[in-house]
Amino acid sequence: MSIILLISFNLFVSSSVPQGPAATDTPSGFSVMVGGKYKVNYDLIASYYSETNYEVRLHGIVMGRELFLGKNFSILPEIGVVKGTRIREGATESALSPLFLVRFAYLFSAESSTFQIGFSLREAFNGKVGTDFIDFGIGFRM
Amino acid sequence: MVKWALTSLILVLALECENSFSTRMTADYFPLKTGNNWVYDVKGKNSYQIEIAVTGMKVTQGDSLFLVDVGGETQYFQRKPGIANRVRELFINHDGDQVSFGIIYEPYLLLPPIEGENWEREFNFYSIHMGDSLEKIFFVAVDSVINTSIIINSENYENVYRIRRKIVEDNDSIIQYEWLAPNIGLIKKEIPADSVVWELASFTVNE
Repeated sequence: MSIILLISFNLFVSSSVPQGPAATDTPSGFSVMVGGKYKVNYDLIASYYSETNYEVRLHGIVMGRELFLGKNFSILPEIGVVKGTRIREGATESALSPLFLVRFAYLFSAESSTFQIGFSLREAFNGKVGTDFIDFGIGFRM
Repeated sequence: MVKWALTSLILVLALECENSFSTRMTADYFPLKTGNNWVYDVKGKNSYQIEIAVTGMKVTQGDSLFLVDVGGETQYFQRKPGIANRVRELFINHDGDQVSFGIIYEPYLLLPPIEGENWEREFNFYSIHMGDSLEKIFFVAVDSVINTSIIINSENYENVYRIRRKIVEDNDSIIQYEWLAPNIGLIKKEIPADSVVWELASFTVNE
């Protein structure tokens, strides 16, 4: 089990840009996705956004199935759950939210590890379909 | 095939579930956009309607300000990430003269609202006018922020933030409660001391 997890280690570090009507008030931040593959692909997500007067933290887990287009392109749709927290001067508000994520990646060939660049679209379900965050990132997989 | 059907089912179920937190995260609680228009029924000693409209924008000293017509009076708002400021001139009437203390950026709303938060800001100015020493005090505080739902004119509004705003200007103070709905803004205002209530009658968004 541990060997399988290690072999399929997957890292994606991205700069995250909020979308939608509240994009003005929701700061940009960064996200780290660490995951792998064991029967299905899975990723742990940690995102952090900070504005001068408040911050947002998202933690969650998503799972899906990676599809390859040729050797270099991959599409990874995932669904899962995130816990979102907003903090401002001691006031904290948090809740769980279902999350749908699609990551598009280009994989560079390499002998030891595969370097990847790409972007992901994230939708935290709120009764209407849209994109709440776009993450542009890089990473590698082993 | 079964896997795809199951995945599709999960997606459909997830899409249909209304998630309050993500609504609150992605919604704009102070939608300032030229053309947006709110009409309120004002109930108190007299009943009447008041209209609020974003009439345009103005650039002053590098700042883009929204011009908001509130019942015939133009107010100026500045929108910055995480905050909306009301830009206003403070003055005092002294011996028939209007003495200005300059322009202030009054924090009007911290955005997005967060349940349980409270904040305040005080402005103190001193001036000498015709040999007299003048003082101007302006204080604003927002607290008791809660997330709630409310029915207004048979319309049920979810994920509403209710705030308590206290304003002190010189020797006058006012406390008012405001209800802010996602992507609409102010839907209700209550001024208990005057027994006045504003309730949203209509909102027109400029697409």
